[in-house]
Amino acid sequence: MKNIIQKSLQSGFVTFLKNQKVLAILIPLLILVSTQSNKFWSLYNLQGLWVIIAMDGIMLVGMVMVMLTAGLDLSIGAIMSLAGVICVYLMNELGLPMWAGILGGILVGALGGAMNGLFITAFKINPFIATLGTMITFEGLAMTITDGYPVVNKVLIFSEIGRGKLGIIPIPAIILAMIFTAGVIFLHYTETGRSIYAIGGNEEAAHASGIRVKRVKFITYTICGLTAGISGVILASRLSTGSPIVGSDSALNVITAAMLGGISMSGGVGTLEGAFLGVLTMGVLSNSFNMMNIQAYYQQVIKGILLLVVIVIDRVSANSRKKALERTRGKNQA
Amino acid sequence: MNESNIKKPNAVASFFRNLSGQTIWMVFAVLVITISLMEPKFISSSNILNVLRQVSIVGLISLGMTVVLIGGNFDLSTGAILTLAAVVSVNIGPENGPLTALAIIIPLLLGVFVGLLNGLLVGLLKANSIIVTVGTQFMVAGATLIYTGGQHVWVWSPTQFYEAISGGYLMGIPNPIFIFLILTVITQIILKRTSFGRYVYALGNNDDASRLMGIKTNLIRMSTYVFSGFTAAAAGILLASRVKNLDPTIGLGYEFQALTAVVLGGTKTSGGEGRIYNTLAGVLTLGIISNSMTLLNISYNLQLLIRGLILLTAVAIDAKRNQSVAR
Amino acid sequence: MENNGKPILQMENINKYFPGVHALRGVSFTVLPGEVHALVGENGAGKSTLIKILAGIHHPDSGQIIWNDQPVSFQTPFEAWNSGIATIHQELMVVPQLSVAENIFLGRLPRTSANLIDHKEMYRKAQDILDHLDINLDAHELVGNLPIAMQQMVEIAKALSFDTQLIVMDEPTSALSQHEIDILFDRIKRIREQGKSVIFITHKLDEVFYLADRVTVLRDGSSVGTQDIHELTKDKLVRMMVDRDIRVGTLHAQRKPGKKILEVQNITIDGLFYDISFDLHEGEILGLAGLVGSGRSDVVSALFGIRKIEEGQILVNGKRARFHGPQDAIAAHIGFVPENRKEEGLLMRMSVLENLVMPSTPATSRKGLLNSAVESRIADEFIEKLSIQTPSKWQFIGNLSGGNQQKVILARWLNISPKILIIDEPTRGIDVGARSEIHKLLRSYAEDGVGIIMISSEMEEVLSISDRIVVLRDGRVAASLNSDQATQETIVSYALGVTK
Repeated sequence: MKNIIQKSLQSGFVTFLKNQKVLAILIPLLILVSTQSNKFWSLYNLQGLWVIIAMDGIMLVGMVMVMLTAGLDLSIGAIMSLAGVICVYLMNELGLPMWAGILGGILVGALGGAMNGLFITAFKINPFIATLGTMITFEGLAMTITDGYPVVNKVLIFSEIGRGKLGIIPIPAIILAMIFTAGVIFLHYTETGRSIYAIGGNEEAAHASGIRVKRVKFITYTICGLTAGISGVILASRLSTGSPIVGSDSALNVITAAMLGGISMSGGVGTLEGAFLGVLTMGVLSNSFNMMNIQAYYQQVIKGILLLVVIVIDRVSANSRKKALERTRGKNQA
Repeated sequence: MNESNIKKPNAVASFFRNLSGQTIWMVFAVLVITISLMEPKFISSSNILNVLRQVSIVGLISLGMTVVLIGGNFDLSTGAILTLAAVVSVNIGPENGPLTALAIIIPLLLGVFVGLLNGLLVGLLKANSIIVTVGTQFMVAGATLIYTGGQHVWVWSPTQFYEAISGGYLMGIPNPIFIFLILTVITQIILKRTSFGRYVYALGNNDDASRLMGIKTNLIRMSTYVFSGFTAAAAGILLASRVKNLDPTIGLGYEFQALTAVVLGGTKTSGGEGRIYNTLAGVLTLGIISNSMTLLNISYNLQLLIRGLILLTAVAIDAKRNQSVAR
Repeated sequence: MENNGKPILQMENINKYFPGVHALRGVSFTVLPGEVHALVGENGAGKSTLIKILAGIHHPDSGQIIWNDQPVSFQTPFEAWNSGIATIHQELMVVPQLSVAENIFLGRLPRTSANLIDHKEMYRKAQDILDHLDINLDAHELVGNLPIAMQQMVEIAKALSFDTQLIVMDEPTSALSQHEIDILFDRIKRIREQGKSVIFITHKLDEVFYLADRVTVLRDGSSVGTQDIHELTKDKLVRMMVDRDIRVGTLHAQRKPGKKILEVQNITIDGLFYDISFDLHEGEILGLAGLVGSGRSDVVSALFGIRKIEEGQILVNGKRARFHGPQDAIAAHIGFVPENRKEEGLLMRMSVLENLVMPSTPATSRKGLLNSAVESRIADEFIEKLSIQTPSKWQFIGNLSGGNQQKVILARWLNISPKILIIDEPTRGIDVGARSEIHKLLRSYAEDGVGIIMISSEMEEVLSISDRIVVLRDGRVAASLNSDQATQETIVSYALGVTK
């Protein structure tokens, strides 16, 4: 019995935490921000923090799946804006009921993601280039629908999604928890979820094992679009507007967060749980910047640098993985 | 080992191969004729010069973008470089001779510096060039905002020379057009007549083979980014001289217009193939599309959408061509 | 072990063509239930092609595969696995980021009624298979954390998780230590005891005699024959692998060797090759023979400055050479024709001319400007001299045949006035006519004083062209033979390590 407990400790939460290098940033950051400001741990600030984290965290679920297949989606910010715009537009300009607006926004997200998946799997376009192209197209579409101005929401109850609370917990955080849990279950406990890892780890082996690679990739892009759609609707509700440019930095934020949390651009490496710590870190970082009154412009530069730093780390560790493999192979041969 | 002895180009393959090659000039010609028939105003010399003047800025960026793409990479930081160059140029205050010289030299050096940074990251780390240059774009754009405090920058009374960069004429033709065309010819010479240009093509074709032939691939890759940074900064100076009162986000999105023009001109997104004169056709085609959309009173926002669709189409054709070549 | 059963697998009259190569020439081959069948032959004899056809990776151009009395044609590797034929390639098909159990059941993970993965069931079943094979391995372990030998065991376990009756192993021992090999062989014997069959490809004749029940020998894409192991000796097996009809030195002219231009002294790169020494003289063709993986290509990559040597030194014309990259080797007038023409040699979307003059561009250009008149002349000259078949010098090289592409690459290096020319597999994938042209070219340049190092897996090529032959085995020099000492048998014996 003791053995079992020990084992579960080793393979469970403790090992997980031990493997998360991002904690080396997150923990000192939390200590620093606690000592600098007593406002950080206030309920008000925490609630605000979690609403912010929820936006990126929901999209992270889709992005992690895409990145695990060694893909990328640069269009999620644009999808997010478009979904918010469509949602508010359907309710206010066309007078449809709220559920239709919400569903419409989410559906547009999924459709956008499916379009990415189609370009990438059927047309065989490099994911970076394909999603760059759709990003511009979706942005243009959002701008065209709104004529460049935000659409204002007048359906009061709709705002409850983004602003409401259940007890002390903001509703976006609850939605995040649900989607995150679903994502973890999907990745760990379903055949498709494990296939995602297999494709990123060794696409040839996945194919040889009978996994339908194109289909799985298509699914990941669709899910990614779907999560961006959900995030877009929540944001539109919180701001009570559908803004065509609100998501412009999101793709970069989410990619940085995922890589910070241990997801590799070369695919197959990392977990959603780890990536979540990345989003948490990014959230705390921008929260503490705000509390320390650091200008948004400085934050942008820091985020750019952070992205470049995680790319450097990702490449260096990918190279060392490759070298280690070559060396064991070579040694054995000699 | 697996190449076939004789490759018979099939009809579909050659159609797609040619579609974005020379054909862009035909598309351009058809477009010009159609629009002239629909809208006689279009053909007036003032409108033609206007179109050319408008495209010269995107055109300059496209030159550098073409070189980077032929080498097998992307540069999405050019819009941010353009903005930085423009803002710094104006902020130096080209109100006398020496300051005018500085307002030209310093922005160009900044462009070269950012290009160097891109080249270092992409060349040494072999990281994906799209994501790296999106990162530098973010950084440079942020730095520009910090530098200006997010406020407009302007110059009250620039020297005549500074004004003439965009406002002057030579033989009845606006200077920006001259600058663009001269740099186009220079880029063509660099690509087709110098060993550097040949190495860029070789690099985009096959990195490993190039290295085995003694080409210093990292150096060449870095140089393509430096060139791109240079042309983007030059475009920034051109813009600064014209606008003189600058929003520090003015250059957003220029990189996508340039990318669209370059891919439309048949430069392969996988590298190794492309012609600067076809890029010119791509730039002109995009220019008249924008111009006629404006003449037809199509909203700016719908124009954005149409541009996105054009880029997607160009990219899809490029991918299709790849497959027909690769069998 | 009884051989009276009906064959479980019959491959009949299999033909396979690749561009310019007739890879399999009517090969027939049977496997009995419960036997370990060794497949041997030199590099390029067709073993890999044969098993790739069996694995559903390649498709035969003619011939029939009969599996369990049924004619079959596998379109994908997965179909072959599902039908009970599991192939374990040298490049292991595992996903490093997944657990042992997940790798075993990849693509068909056990599920619960809620359609979720049944982890309990999966790990139990996986552990069962592992225990059954007596492999001491936790099914929860990530495959990426395991040594190669264990990853291989995971693939064997995966094979057994299907209803597999035949396991095909392509050189399974090449990356294993002696202890690991012993364990592997023990498990293979167990698999045989269960009545399942194993096809086993190897270059190590000791392994053949230790393990196999029957042996099939392939040579030049044809089957030489199948023998019971009891009827064979090592000598006999080597003689079967060797073609007796090759005449040695057909193109040789007797020449006195020129002065030494290259001295390789005790060079080592840990993990690749050790303590390699040889000399090269002006006008000499030195053949580097040995199995794939013996270090041949790694040695020449060090000579060309692609890899840095860790110990020893290289002297060019008596002076110590320190190459920091190919550009330094090229400056010392060394040329290198790589093995993989497409991946490392050709600039597919560039013209014949550009491909031809690329390394000599620094010499012909002035202040960075290309000299197109000179380049044009050079291209015309070489197209003429090497009779390169191309519509024009501006043709994309991708549109030329393999033989003509190879001639362009040769011309590329001949144009830098090479003192030393290194050429890895000079005629791979090239048709017969162009082959002999390339051979004549190499000889004629050698007569003009160029020192040539040639790697080739084809015995005929090595024997007919080389003045001297260095045989490598496991990253070391196994023998250095003069042309009068070298016969096919001696070379094969040294390469395989069959000492006399």
